[in-house]
Amino acid sequence: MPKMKLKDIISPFYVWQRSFEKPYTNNKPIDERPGAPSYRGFHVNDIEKCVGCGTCETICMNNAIDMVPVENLTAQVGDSGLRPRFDYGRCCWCALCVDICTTSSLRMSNEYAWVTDNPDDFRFTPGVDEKPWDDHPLGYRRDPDYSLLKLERPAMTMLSAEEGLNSFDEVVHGFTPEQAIVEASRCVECNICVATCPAHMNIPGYIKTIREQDFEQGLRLLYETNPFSSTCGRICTHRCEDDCVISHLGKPLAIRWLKRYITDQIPAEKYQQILQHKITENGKKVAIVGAGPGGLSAAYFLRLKGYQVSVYESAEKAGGMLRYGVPTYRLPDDALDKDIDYILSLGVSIHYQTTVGKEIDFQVLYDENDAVFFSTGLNVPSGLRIKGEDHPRVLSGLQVLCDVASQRDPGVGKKVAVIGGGNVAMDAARVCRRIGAEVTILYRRRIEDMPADPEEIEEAQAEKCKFVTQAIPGLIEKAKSLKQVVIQWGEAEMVADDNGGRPRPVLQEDKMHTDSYDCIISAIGQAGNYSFLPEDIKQQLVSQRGKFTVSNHQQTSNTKVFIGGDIANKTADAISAIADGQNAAIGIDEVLSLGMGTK
Amino acid sequence: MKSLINRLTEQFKVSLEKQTKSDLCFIRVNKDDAEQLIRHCRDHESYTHLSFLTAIDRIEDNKFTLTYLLHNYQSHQSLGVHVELDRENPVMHSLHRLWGQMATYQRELKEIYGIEFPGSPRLNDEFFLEGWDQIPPMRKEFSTVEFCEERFPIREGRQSTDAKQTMKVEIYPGRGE
Amino acid sequence: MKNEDNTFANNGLLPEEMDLFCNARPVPYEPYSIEVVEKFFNWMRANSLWIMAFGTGCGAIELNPLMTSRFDANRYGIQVRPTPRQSSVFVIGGYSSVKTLKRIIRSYEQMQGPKFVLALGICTINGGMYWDSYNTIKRLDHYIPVDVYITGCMPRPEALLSGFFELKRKIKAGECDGANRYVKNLDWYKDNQKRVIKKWDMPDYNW
Repeated sequence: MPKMKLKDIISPFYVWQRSFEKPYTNNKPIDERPGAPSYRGFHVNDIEKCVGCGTCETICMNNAIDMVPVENLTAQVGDSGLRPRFDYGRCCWCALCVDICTTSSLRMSNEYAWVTDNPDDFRFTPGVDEKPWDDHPLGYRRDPDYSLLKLERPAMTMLSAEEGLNSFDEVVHGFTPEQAIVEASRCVECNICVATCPAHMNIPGYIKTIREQDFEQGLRLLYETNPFSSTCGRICTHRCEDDCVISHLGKPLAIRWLKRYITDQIPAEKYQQILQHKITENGKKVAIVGAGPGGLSAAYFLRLKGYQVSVYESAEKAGGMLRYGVPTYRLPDDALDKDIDYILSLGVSIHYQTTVGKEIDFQVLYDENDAVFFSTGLNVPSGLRIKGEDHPRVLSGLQVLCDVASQRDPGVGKKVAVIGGGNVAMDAARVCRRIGAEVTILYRRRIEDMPADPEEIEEAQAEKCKFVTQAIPGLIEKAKSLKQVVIQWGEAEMVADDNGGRPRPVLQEDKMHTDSYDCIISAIGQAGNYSFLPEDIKQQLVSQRGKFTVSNHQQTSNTKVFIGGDIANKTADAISAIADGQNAAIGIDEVLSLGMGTK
Repeated sequence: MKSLINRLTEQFKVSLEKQTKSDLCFIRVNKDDAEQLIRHCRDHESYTHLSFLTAIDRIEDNKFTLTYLLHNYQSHQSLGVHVELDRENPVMHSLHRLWGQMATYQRELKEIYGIEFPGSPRLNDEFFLEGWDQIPPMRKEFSTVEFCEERFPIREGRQSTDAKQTMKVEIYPGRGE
Repeated sequence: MKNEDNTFANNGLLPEEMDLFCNARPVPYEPYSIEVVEKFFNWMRANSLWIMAFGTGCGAIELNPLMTSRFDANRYGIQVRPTPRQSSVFVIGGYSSVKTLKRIIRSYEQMQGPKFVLALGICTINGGMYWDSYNTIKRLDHYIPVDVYITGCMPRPEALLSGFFELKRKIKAGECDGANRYVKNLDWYKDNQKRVIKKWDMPDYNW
């Protein structure tokens, strides 16, 4: 047996020195160990920021998220009013929902321990059901430099401002197939935009058909709600894009260009074969006054329901403001004709150059038809309401646009002042630039107050229209030459409104200017013309601030008369008129086929 | 690997399917020639290791594709052998005599795809399912979601609301079709 | 499944196995009539939680750090036992496949009362990641009674530890009646179990 050394006896006791070291054991393991600063713990949702798009629900691979209605929140345009409810019997904290959140409202705290004996507690709506970790500052957030969403739009090819000035060719070229697929794949199919669109088009549906390259189905979806898809694909005010959820972090989808892309893929000859509309006549007759977007849309939807439709149009061609108010560099005639020809091919009879009230009496239409729809639009330019406005060199913006559209010389001269800041003013200015005039735009407020589409303003600026803002016209005088006119205008100061309204311009008497122009184009708004209405019917119609009051289905208090378009809706754009036409068709059908009133 | 394929094509009716990497390629062979080919690869081409045997359900072609993946430890190359089976009557020769572990793979495939390997030991013994009373679960016509809903109850109270419909009812009732 | 005298029929057993198993029904635990004594018992139970060493799912991995020096669960009276006969706590570590469920039921029934179940992780609550898997059960409380749920995928050892603390609190308060619920609703539990376990080759109650 080997001899035992002293060291061998002592060495086991060396371990005693450890008793003076700091122990590894956590004394209070739960309190001492918070989650890491970017720990993926329990969810927190800023419900003010959240718009209930449901993208988190879609991406969740564990089916852990439900969108649920929440107390004190109602749906509104751009917000579904729903909020995500999490099931912590499903969630695996992968944070895909946080990464995809279109508004960045969803994040995670670094709290991670939750114990209960009632498993139903684990279903909760962050931000609505109060939780101890709601105010935790730490936890996982989406890296701002990284996004699962594609936030940028492919650049649209357009004519440069110089090229545009030399022609009336369409400025926007439309997407290439590659661009269209890239753009279409940015859609998260949340359906929030559907409520914003006045016609409630199935936007995610037709965008999906672009991804799937099934344009025929795309066209069918478009024609369910909008017979002017080719037109709207170019000139729609695209309010859907304002509420596109992608716009919270990036550029909204180019929904308008995508719509245009679908219609551009299909030649007009194929429309009939693809859409396959079968019409069963029901023997009832409807008269429509005005072949603008509202009237023709109503004609289309009524025709599909089997009504015999007659449209009365005072101009030579159909299209109304789309043809005579929108210049061809924004909406070429063939794009408009594509839509109109298809509507007319369904068997809509149209009477051109037939002004109701002159060639035919409204009363006759009213008596001979089962219902009458009119959307005659705002076609009387508002006056400037200043002294000297009846000068022969003061033209109306609408007249200039109409002359150019009909290929007549508007006779504007070489130096033009446009008064106004709406789309008509921009269009008139740009048209004048194209026929070689120098253009100054006078507007009484600031550029950001202009009601025109931002892109129209940008393009007008690019085309070197001179913008003079905060300019209030005061007086129009005769010039020495008959071909000229003199305008006096004064600079204005923006004064904040005490009642919280938008700031209003106040004329500064000491800063007056006098300029001479070849002509002045007034484009400060339009009004309707209702002289064709017989007195007794006019009495029955209720109007408020120059617009007719109608039911949800465009019905007036005279159950046979339906009104739509700019003269009935506040927004006064093409898509609203189209929606009105569709709803009028629903309303007329309800009244005539079911014999009931409409809501 | 090219020379190997050339040598194999001389002796067997095989076709190269694709070479996915420099050290991995897949060949296709008839069901009846498979045993001979694989035995040849094992005994004469040093593909001594069976990495795995698995199946792919190609329901759109009405076929099962078996994949035998063999490995050569000397050259560190892998050879995949694809064998196509009729999906209606999936029967394959049992290769358990080549590698003992083949029987386990075959037992697995029998259970999850319903592929028969006549003569394979313990083929019909349960593998990881116990008392399975449905069609084999990895066949594509078997819907796991439907089966789960029917067999395994989940916690009540899960219901989602459709945004489009909610907005239609609350924002624009009666408008549009 | 019941005989006329309210014993188990044990239909899953072979005739020659019948004699090897008991067919009597379990009876609920009656608390001791003197409240102080029962409280004392509960205090003792809460401080000797012996875990059944059966890792049923991926959550089993969270038990290992719990027992080692950082968390040192032994100081709370928690330790691991290798057999159901000695354990009082069953930690269901996440998902359980149908095959595992059968073993879980067998082990749970073999545990001596008072016994408690901790459900660890989302899969025990509502299916979790395996919500559409053909081979895992979605909610554990349909098959065995659960006393405390811990959410997480996986819950960290700290969360598991707070689950144990909650369990202790409940035991001390005398609220842990899971085992009694099981006995009282045994027929309902057995129905649920037999609906998913198609190969029932064990006694109806594993004494």
